[in-house]
Amino acid sequence: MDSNYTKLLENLDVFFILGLMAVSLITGRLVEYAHYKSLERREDQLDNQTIRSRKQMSIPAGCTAEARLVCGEAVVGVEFFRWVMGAFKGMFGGHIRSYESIIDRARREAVLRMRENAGNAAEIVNVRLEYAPISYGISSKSSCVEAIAYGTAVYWKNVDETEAA
Amino acid sequence: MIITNTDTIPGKEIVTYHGMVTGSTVRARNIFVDIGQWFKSLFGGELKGYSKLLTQVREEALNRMKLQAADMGANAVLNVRFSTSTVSLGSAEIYAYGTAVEVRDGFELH
Repeated sequence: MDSNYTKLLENLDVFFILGLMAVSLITGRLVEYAHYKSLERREDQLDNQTIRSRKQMSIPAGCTAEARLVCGEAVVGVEFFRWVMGAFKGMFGGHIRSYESIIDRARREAVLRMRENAGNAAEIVNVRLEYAPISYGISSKSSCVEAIAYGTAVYWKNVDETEAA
Repeated sequence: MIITNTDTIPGKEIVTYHGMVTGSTVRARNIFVDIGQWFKSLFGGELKGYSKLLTQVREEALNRMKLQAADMGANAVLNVRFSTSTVSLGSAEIYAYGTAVEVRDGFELH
């Protein structure tokens, strides 16, 4: 009786984990697809704004400029299926492709938020990406990837306009 | 107060250097947010709670840096950088630092 009960519990555990893996596989794929779609759409909208990792500003002749710090951050979760597969693959070494797309999404989202925060800036110079271990130690059963992007947004101003104002 | 992470500010010239200013925040942990975000991270997608938290922590670090610069009599902070460190299990620190300077209008054309 007792052994039957524990056997059932053990099986339940296995089914629960397998079910969770299947569900998270589907939700993870759907979320990733939608996220990439929205990233591409929003990146297209900001097509006229340049971002650079160098410090020099390229201000056109006859213009003055204003500069300010802009930041953006994003935290993307690693779903259960990906986490299990990553841990499994980590035993044998090599690329973990599923993790690469998570990091890519987090960084692109952070950069996009930074650009959206910059408003109508002509360019953003000295862009840096930083990692913040905000979820460190919260859970060993799941993880997430955090990215901070920051840079200096430069707003061009025509000199004639500023003198007239 | 003007804050940039470049060496110069366009249209301004530096009058005095006041030295380095810093600001740091250690992430405040909220168990209820943690549980919700842990559950959400099982199924993937962006963790909005943590994104928001990260924004608040970063703002706080920047504000502390600004206060320190204002105390020194500076009106701008240049070359700002962010750095992160893990102090102990379950807490993370965001650290902002830069050079406090005094600038005035310098009408240089590019």
